Amino acid sequence: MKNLAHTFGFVLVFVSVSLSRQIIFRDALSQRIANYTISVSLDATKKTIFGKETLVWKNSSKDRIRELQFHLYLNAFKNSESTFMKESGGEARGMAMEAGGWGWIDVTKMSVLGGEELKSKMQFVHPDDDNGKDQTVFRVLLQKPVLPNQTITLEFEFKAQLPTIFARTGFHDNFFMVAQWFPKIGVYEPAGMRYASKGQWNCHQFHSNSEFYADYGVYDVDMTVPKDFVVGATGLLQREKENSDGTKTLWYRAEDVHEFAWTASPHFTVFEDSWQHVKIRLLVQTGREGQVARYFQSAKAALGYFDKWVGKYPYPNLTVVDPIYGGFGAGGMEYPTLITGGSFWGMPDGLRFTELVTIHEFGHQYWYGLVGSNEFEEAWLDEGFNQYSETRIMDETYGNKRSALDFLGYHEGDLELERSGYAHLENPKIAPTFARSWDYKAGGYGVMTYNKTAVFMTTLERTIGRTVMDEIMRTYFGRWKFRHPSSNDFISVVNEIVRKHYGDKFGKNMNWFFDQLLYGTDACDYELTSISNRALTGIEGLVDKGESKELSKDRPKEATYESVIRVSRLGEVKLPIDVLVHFENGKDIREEWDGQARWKEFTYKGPDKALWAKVDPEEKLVIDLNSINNSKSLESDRRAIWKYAVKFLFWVQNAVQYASIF
Amino acid sequence: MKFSKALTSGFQHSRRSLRVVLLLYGINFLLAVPFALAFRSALIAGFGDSMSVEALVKDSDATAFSDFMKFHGPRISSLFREVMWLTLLYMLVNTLTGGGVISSLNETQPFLLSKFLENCGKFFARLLRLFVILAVVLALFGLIWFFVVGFIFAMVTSDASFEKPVAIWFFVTVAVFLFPIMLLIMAGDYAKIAAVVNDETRMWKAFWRSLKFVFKNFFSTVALQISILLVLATAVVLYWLIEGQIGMTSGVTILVAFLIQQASVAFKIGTRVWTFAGELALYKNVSAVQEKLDFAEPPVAALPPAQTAFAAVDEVKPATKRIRRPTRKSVARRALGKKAKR
Repeated sequence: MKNLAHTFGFVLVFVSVSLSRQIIFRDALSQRIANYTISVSLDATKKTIFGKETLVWKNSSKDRIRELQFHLYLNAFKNSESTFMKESGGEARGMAMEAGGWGWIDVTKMSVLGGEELKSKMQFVHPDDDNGKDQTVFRVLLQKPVLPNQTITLEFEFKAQLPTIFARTGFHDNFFMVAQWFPKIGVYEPAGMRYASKGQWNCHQFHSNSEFYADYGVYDVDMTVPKDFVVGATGLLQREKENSDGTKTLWYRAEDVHEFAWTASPHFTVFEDSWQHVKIRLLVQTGREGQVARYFQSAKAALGYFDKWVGKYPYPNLTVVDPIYGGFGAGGMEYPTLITGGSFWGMPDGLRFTELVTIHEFGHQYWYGLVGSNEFEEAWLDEGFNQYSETRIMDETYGNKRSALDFLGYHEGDLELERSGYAHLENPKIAPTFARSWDYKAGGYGVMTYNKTAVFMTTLERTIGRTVMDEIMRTYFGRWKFRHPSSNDFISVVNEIVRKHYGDKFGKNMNWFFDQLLYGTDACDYELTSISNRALTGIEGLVDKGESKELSKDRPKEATYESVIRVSRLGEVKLPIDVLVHFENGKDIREEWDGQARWKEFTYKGPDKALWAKVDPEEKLVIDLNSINNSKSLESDRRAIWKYAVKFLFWVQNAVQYASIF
Repeated sequence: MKFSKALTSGFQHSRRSLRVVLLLYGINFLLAVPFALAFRSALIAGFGDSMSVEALVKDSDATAFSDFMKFHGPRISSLFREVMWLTLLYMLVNTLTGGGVISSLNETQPFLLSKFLENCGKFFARLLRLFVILAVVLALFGLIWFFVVGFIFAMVTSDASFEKPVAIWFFVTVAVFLFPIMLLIMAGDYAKIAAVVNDETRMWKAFWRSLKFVFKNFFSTVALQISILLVLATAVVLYWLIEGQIGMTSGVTILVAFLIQQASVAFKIGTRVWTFAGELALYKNVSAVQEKLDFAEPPVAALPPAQTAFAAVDEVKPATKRIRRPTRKSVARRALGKKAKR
């Protein structure tokens, strides 16, 4: 009787909870391989969380899977021996870890639902390095394998100490950004998926440089927090209940996402707005209310741009979190339907940091969220694509060459910022863009992944044309949303669409482009080497006429010139390039060069001298490291030289005069 | 209001000392011009015949600028290092001319270059000693004070969860840090004046006495300094507004901007001369009151009272509340001091 009552009670609770869950998508958008139900409570004083988790995982492959692998991201902050701490040196995102701010996670219970106990079988593994002390990945061997198309239900209990925020997750004061916080299953890649030649787990340790790769699913998460806390989370709020112990519980549901993050703080002020079907909820720190309009405006700009450009944002909401002062390590992060921004009180409008971060993080909703790129192994597919998207949106929304900075007479566009980050690196050949995030031992991860990708994607766009490029991005997004593409998959789309529009104009495929700029480290630098104009005077001197020699005085009445324009390829990268030559009579001649040889000369004969010439006149090759040597003029304009010499004189005079106060 | 009289009197005297201002401006210009020419050469060498420089005519251009700095930055960097040395040289030149400037402000006679140069030479050694003293005091005090205010700032803001109070505290801290530095620099000015007007040779003593002078006449000295700084700040803002309107995109507008820049520099030099003139007026005003109370001879030892420019300017009103009456001991000490000087 007791058992019957117990079972009845369970069924009643299950039914009521199920009924109270609001279904977001009538038809699943993804395969829903990893589905979580988590109940978590936050101890805001001790900065700890305690959670119960049920994972329903589906074997979507044809393999019999006996081993499961899981992430325990929070153990990256456990001690100085974790791979994350060794790689980062306790510093990330411009912040250092506070002394004693360690964080960790312990799985206190793990079992197959109604069956095998797994806690005792947990074994930490380190697939990426030989660091035996890293505890961010564990595996368990099952007694009974998971058969193809079967599901397995696992139950966990865990407790975690949150670290002080310096890298994405943790707390500062009573601001909590709880991300990468629960035992999370890796991705099983069967043979043929991405680069897998046989079925294998793709479950990387937590590295300093990279964050995500996971399967899509449904998350039902309830969070219990102090009742004066404002909460934001991935997905949609289902319901909220105040408890008798001074806490409250909030139920959230997210569908077709591959991560779940949440934030809580008593210092949030909530603002709401909407864009088409998307409700935007902004959680702003006290004192930063002046940034609200900037957040909303930039979020809407990004939503509108992506919608038009690559496809619809399917989720009904977006939460934007403004991190607390001192907790900026949590800023500038992306989670499904939730992003963290970056702003400061009193930030001038011309410093578009708020806009830039919001647009960037929203872009991840597409290239990290909707397209499930493996950021550990191919970060350029997420961060790089996103940087390219950011430059487009920023420059088109806030103005070319002034979108990122427009302050006190100085202005710089977002694309310019990205280009200079790459082109002015001390060694732009430091590493290829295609590399695993933890393999950038000599540095360059950020620049190669973010900047160089944005720059070579813009170069590609300007080479093949924006219409074709947009079709590529749309096709890629449409084909790979809610799936896990590889670099090859993107290149295949490029080859397909370019060939469709241009045939063999760029060769049989575009692999030559990616071989050089994605997989290679070579640099691109074309130069307009020289312009010369030689007056053609005819033959002067002795000329053979049969057996005799005659003195020739063959001077043309009207001067004719032979103009020679020499262009050179100084770098190793070979790209097709245009050359524009301008003559005295105002006539322009445009030449196309395949850019293969080390140099090429263009020769013209006519009554007018060549006055100036430019390689890459439309600045298609943004990847070119030196824009100064791209042009030459025989009539140099010295106004700018004088302008800045005069300014410099003024600056020196002021500097010494101010020093005269001593 | 002693400070307002000093301010207006100082302004009138600096206006009358246009030649001094022009002379100092000339030195400033001649020292800076070679660097501007070297900068111009570096730009020409870097850009060569490239058309990318044209992007800089109308506006700033981040790509042209950053590419230039990447490939030709070392030339510019070395020039900036040399400007640092020039600044040091200019400080010495300023020390050299200090005696001449203050003497000429103190005289009613028309400006004579030979006299100016003579006074430059006459006071150079002691003003150089004062410069070293001031540098050491500023360095030591600045370092200690920096740690003190920095520590307080860190304490106050360590647990801050919002940047607004941190930003406000930051500006308050900077002001608190700079204010005593300004007082020390002002004391340096008054010590220079004492060296010239009182023919003071013991510069360490002159510096401390001047520091006391600044504190004893706190409101007047600080108000005078702040007033002139406000005028200077207004001039700087005005310049930026005007420069923004000019544009500097053609030969003519570049020339116009150049002329306005030079006028701006000359004005800044003028405000420095004005500062000295105002400080001199204030110093003599207070000293005259002191001497009246002391029943002693006027403090101007180096130059006869009839020749001093400020002798008739300031109406002396005893500030009875502030100034201590001389005791027998202090009169005796002063007499002894003068003996020792002779």
